[in-house]
Amino acid sequence: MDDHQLVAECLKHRPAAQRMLYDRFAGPMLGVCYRYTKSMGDAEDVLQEGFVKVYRYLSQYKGSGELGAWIRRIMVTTALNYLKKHVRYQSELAFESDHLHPVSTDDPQVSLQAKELAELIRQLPVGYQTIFNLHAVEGYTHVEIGQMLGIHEGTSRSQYARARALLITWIEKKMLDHKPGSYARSGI
Amino acid sequence: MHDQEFERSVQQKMQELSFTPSPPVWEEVEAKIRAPRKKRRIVLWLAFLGVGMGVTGVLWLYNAGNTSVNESLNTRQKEINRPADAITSKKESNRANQIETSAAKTNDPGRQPSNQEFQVGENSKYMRGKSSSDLSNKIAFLNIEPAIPNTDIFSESAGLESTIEKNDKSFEAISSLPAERFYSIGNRQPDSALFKTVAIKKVEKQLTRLAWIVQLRYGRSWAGADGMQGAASLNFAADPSPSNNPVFGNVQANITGGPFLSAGVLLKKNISSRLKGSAGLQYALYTQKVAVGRKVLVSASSNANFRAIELYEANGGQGSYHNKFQMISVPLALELKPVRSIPLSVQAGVAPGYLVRNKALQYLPGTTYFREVVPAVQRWQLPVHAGLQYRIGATKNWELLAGPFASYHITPMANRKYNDRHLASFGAGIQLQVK
Repeated sequence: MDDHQLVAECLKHRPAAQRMLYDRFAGPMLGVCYRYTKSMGDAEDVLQEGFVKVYRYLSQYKGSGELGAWIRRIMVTTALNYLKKHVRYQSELAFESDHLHPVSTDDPQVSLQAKELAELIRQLPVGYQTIFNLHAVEGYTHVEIGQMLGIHEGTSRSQYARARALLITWIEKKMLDHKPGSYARSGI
Repeated sequence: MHDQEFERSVQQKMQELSFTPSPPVWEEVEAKIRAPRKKRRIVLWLAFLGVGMGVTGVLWLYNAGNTSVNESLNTRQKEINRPADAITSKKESNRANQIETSAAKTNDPGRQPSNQEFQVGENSKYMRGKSSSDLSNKIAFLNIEPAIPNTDIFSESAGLESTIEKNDKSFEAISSLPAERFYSIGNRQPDSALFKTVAIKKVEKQLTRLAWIVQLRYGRSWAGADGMQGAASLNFAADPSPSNNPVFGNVQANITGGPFLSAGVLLKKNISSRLKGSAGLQYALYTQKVAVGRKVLVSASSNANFRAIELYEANGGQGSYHNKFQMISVPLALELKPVRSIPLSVQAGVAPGYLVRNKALQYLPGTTYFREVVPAVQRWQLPVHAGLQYRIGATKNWELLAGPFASYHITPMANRKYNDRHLASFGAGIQLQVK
């Protein structure tokens, strides 16, 4: 059953089709939610809220684009709302320049596994993490990010630059740790 | 910046990122996507019901206040005229005419009627079978004039109205007298206004009589085999014959009827002396028994996610599974009493309803297993029902009726080829009517 047939069946409220849609997209979408949150529990909460919205607004899916991309946008929006709503994220989501980090424009070769890279992204401060995900992974422009988060475009740009620099530092460190000769440097 | 190698590399890596959610996530999602829909539908249903009952009630009351009253007045007037006609057609009525003529000639409103006049009254349709005390009451009422000094009893004065209301029994008695008798005894010219007032009050009293009803029914129900093949993928076409025990592949399903139960609250109203209408809200449970074998757990995989599914062996017979269909409906019925002297009425109507919960086994094609599916059949249903009601007990404030019933759902259980199975039930029920 292709995506269009699946959507048509879901719109008829067929439980089997609804389950199939979930099975098809829950895994990758949990990956999306995981990148935006700090724990798997929070990621699953976002996934759950997101899928409820997916079923509720499925009739608005026009079929012009990929279903996966449409669901992904819902998950991202749900994740952003989740971050704004929950107190534990709010203090870090102020997008202030309290934690300044060195800026780097280097483009290192990313040879980490997807999960390792996701772990590093999640270690970024929430503001950095969010903007990095929106720009580097989802491909939103800084203007769009500014509108989505209610911040100035320039703020988004500078936060992204800092997040990127920080991440590159961590990736380089991680890659060095993976090399056999790096054990001596890390004291092992 | 986005064109840079780092961003592309990160984007590519993140596309690969995938995790398996824990099972409770889907359970929560499923619960949430089902619940609001149910809630919305229940709210819509109640709103529809409320509007429907409101409109029906307004129309009913409007008709009761206009058309029905007028029709009843006409009927009453005809009935009033009929006894006198009957009297004049008989030989002995000649004597009655003589008495009436003599009475009319007597210009004395307070005059006591003679025994002969009683006899004439007994010959009439309305007097027949009445005791002499009833007759005395009528006469006493006719001589009400001295109790209301300076008041014309045949005018529509407030004094008369209040007196009529206080003397309700006499009031009814006088209204049942033949018109000719009434005027001749009173020796006055006919006053249609009084008759109208009297009749309207009586008819209005009858028409506005409402009764609350609690209704319980128990019996057997059949659900056909549709519950077995609600999913589009199931191969019901292999069995085009409508049977309760269809063959699925090499599986002979053994399906029998199960208990039926319904309970409801209705509001009943008199439309005429023999016809009543009722509307209300009812819950009904239809069941169907399916012989099954052992229950087994199998693991189904989809997109690298594994989950357990409960299946029932179709070839077995060690156990049984009950398909259940729970329906909330709005029963609308008309009740006709064919013979006045027999407290038996015939009832028929419709009960549009919604299957709020229904679960049934479905056959998994190419296997020997059934799987439980919720919901199994289409939810909007239109049953027609008919039955008999016999009054087994009554007091001034309540009546107890009982009798058989049968119902058949016009709507099929599923909208697919060969799915000509319908829910049906029959049994016995009781009704407690509180006036």
